[in-house]
Amino acid sequence: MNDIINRLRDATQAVGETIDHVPGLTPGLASGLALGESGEPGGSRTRRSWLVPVAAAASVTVAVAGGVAVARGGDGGLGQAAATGVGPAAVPTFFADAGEDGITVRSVNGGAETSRVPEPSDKERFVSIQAAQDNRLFYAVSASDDCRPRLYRFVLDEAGKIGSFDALPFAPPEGTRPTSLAVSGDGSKLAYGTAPCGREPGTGSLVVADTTTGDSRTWTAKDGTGATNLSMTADGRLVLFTRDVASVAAVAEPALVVEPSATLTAEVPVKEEEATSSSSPAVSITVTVTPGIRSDEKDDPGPAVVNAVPTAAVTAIPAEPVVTSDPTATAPATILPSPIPTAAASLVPAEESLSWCRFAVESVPATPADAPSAGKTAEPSEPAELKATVQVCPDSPEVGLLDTGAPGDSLDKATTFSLLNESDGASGGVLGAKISPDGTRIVAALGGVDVALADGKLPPSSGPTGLAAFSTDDGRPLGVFHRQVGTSGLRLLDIDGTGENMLVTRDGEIGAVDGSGYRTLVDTGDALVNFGSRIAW
Amino acid sequence: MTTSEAADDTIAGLYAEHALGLARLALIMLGDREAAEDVVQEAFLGLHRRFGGLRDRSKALTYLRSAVLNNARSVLRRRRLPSWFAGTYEPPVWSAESAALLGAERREVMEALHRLPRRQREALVLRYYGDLSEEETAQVMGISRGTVKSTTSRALDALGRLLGDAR
Repeated sequence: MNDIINRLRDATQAVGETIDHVPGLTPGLASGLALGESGEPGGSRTRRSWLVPVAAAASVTVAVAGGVAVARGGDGGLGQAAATGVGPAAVPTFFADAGEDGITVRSVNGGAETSRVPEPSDKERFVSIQAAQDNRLFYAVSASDDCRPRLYRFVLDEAGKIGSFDALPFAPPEGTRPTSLAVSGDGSKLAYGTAPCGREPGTGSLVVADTTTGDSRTWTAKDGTGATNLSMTADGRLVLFTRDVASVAAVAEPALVVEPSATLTAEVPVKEEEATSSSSPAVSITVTVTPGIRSDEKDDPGPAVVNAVPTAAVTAIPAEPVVTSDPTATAPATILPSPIPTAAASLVPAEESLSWCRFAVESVPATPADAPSAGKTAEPSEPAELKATVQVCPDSPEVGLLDTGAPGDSLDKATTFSLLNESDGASGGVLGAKISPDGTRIVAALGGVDVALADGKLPPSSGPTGLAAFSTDDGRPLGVFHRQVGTSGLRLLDIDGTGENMLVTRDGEIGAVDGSGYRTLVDTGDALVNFGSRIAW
Repeated sequence: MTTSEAADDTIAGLYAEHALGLARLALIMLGDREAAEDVVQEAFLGLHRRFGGLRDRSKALTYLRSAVLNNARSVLRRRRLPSWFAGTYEPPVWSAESAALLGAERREVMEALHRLPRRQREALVLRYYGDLSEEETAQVMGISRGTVKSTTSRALDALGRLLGDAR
């Protein structure tokens, strides 16, 4: 013991003696320790406001729509040579998303599409995508109607073209539906969450697989809940995930009808498919209005905004879970808590855990006087403009950190942190949490997202939002390193291999946050799009 | 002489007497000279702000040591943020890349010390580098004397194991 003390004394004294003087006291020293702020001046962006006119006696269809709308086609190059070595961690030059039209690769400079792979078949769709640290090797996992998921790998060349696209020789267990995928820095390890497929009861699990051998190890939770929103450290040792707690995600299917001067009750089928493929256990809704102006014309002023006269009240009650394989129903937006003064309709969740989600619809008669726009004059019989407010539910603040090097096969052994939904001034709930490649921190977006589907009669986004870091030792907040004021909240989508670049979404844009702040990568035009884990760089 | 001038004099005296020692303490915790100097400056600024409640010089020194440890913790935490936010810092003076060559054996000790939990590391450094008594260490760390004793004991065991492992 004395030997240890002596060695300690000797080493610390030798270190101390490398300083032999200190500069004088400078009383004016600005606090070098205070966390600075990066971000943008408030109000630099105007909130997107949409006009959603509704034709005479029209029904308003609330369906799920989303993803980046792109045409099918492309240069898949299925069956080419397998991937080779993975380079060092690189600042991303491409990002890829998996949507209804397969996988689309885009350049971070301008968002131009560089390559595309269609979905494997009309019965199989990509549910999650992840990149290795070099931003060239990507993996994707699919779910299929026959409950036989598959894993895919593709490699990008320097121009962002997909050089090879292959199914891996091993796959997630049959009878499961993958929820989310994560990959180690060198691409040698994959982690994915699974949920029971179809109506069969089963348990969720987390699987880590070696991409060379296909060997895998599975962790299951006692209560059957699975894992979603996975991320992995560069060495593949730690996996961060969100417990897939509420296995319900309500999606308003084409059943929610709003008519002027009507009070009605609509059933909202629960779509099991979305329950875990979205990154959140929350209610999922996107509003599509049919017939009427298509979404690509939403910036058209159309019939003018009418004064808010709530004439319709809608109560949507989640019904029994309904499994649907409608491939157009994707990208849920999650909905959330905060009082909406103009709410004339609200989604009443069946699950207690959803009680803080809100969805407001307001239908207003359009009168000619209020609709001067040429060619689109509303007839007196033409009923209504729908005003809807959707607020995006935060994720569960409970995250699990699994040490894959520790023995055991229970997901309950994972360390659980409850991330504070307020840190350093930013508040509003956790919108995506990922582990940094070095495993020292959890990065989470904190904030609220609300989307006005009508004329933007919304309470402004409350307080500053931003990206915060939390310690992986104990979940303690380390500080907010990116702040935004006066914009809709960010959702964190992915962290790159260097740990310095965050892929985010905000106001219908896909963007990047790095040391110089936020920048837009591409505008999806859909403020409600929720990529879950179907986008990566 | 006004109260404020007297405070300035006292603080200047404390700085002349203890700044170097505190900077060395901070360096041992952080490995980075520039950050260590900042941490000490920050501690003295804190002392200046709250000097009204701290007239006893011995208590002022306890406060300063405590502030140095606290500020060093903040710096270590901040290093876990993305580097574009946390800033870059030099490799620790005891690392192989550092110009301050200390030798493999000392480097091994310092690396092991920094693998210990924060509280164990602080207790060891205060007790055996700072030569503080258990009581003084307890005051600086804001924990009980008994906790200092048990923490130090566990820390020595752990350090011994780490150094044993390294051989």
